[in-house]
Amino acid sequence: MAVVKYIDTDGNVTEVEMEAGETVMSLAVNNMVDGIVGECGGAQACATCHCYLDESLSKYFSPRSEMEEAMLEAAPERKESSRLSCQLELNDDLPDIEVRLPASQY
Amino acid sequence: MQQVVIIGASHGGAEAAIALRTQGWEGKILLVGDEPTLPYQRPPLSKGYFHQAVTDQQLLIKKPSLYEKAKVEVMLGESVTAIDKVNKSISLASGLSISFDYLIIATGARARKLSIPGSDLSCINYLRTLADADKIISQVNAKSHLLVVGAGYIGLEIAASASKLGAKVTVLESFPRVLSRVTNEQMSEFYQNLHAQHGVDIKLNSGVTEFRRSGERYVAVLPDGEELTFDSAVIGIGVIPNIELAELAGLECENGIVVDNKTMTSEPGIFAIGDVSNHPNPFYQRQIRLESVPNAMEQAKVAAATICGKEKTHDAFPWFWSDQFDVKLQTAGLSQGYDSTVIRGDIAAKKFALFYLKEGKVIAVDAINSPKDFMKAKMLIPTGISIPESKLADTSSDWFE
Repeated sequence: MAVVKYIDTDGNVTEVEMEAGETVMSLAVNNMVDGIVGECGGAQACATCHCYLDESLSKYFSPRSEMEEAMLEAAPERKESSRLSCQLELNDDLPDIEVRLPASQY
Repeated sequence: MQQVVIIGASHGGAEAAIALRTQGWEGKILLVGDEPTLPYQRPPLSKGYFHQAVTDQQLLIKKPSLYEKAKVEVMLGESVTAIDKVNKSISLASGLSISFDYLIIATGARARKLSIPGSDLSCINYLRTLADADKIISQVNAKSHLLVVGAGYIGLEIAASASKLGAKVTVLESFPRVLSRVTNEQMSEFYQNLHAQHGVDIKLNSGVTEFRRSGERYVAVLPDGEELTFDSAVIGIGVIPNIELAELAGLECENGIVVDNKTMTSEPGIFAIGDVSNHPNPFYQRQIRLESVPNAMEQAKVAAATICGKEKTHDAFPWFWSDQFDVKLQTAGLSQGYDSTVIRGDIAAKKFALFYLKEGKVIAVDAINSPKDFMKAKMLIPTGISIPESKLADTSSDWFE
């Protein structure tokens, strides 16, 4: 079974087994991964599930919607690789996925 | 072994239970809820769940396995009947008594009931729980006429969702404009137009004086005597905080259970979080009670940290969102007390921000399909910003630079 690796700014890695139907955000919330908050439950309203997804992995997920793009534009510590993890849907065909977390979600 | 008991298994309660564990609480954690289901997200009940974009599995706030993993005991379908603050115990309707070392009250709020002739008919609904939502949805279809009483966020979201399902929708509002408690006239007008464009009939300065059965259908009598035939109704006229347990136990209550910035009530060791709490807000410098998921989650973390002996205060800035048709509203702050407003952007294009100012200071923003303005406002308003109105209105440059 593939895993999602959550890497915080200190380099600490939390590895969680993937589950189809979850998102990178909900998987983190359901496994007590620090650093992903998800206040709005995936409604693209809060940007507290901000993560960085390497360019090489972006092909496995839908591209950013206009709403996600706009939310990220003003998120703290915005980078080229920024994504809202609530929009990264997991399925059974994915390889291991690695995401990096910002220092803070606020 | 020490035990934390949490009364109320919704956004605040669920978050507090898990946060206690992640913050290092080693004792027992008991989460007691009066509904039969594990904690679920309430905001989608009037939106995605209503128009079937979200399933009930996706509604769960935390997966069932997480409670096991975090060693949280969950007791569902149980009502708490009393809190004994002296002996530190709670009584359940089933007769059981459970002792606690710390107590977190997360009892939320309930829908305010309409009390007029016929308001107890089975076609009259309120939306607070999943069971409420399922009943309402079962009565709404492309051939039905849904009556919504009250044009607040809940009422308007239900109107939008039912209209998406093809139902005929009429909204009755007693004030001369929608959302009158929370927005200014321009925003009310924007939402009135939005609903009108989608065929929702909003009747302002109206209301209802009586419901009665009429064959297979129902009739609502309006204040001017007009009679409306409908199939089901949802009443959205506000909520009442569930303070009764706390009040009976002698905790200080006033428009909610009064707490400090650690979410502690007047009784040490007893905390109150979420919609039921009346808490200090450092930016507005007054006690406030919020009906808000992010606030419940934040207070849950503060209560958990405090119980674990960690230093954390509740100073989060209030924010809200509402999805109706193709419009996402994100609000940062509370607009009450504003003395001027500025529009930035294009109302007709459904993309603008409405800034509320008081004595030159920005105190709140309603952002319509403008997430960037919302995000910046949520970050900057709490720091105290005075920006010239001309700059706020000028879309040729960023207002926050």
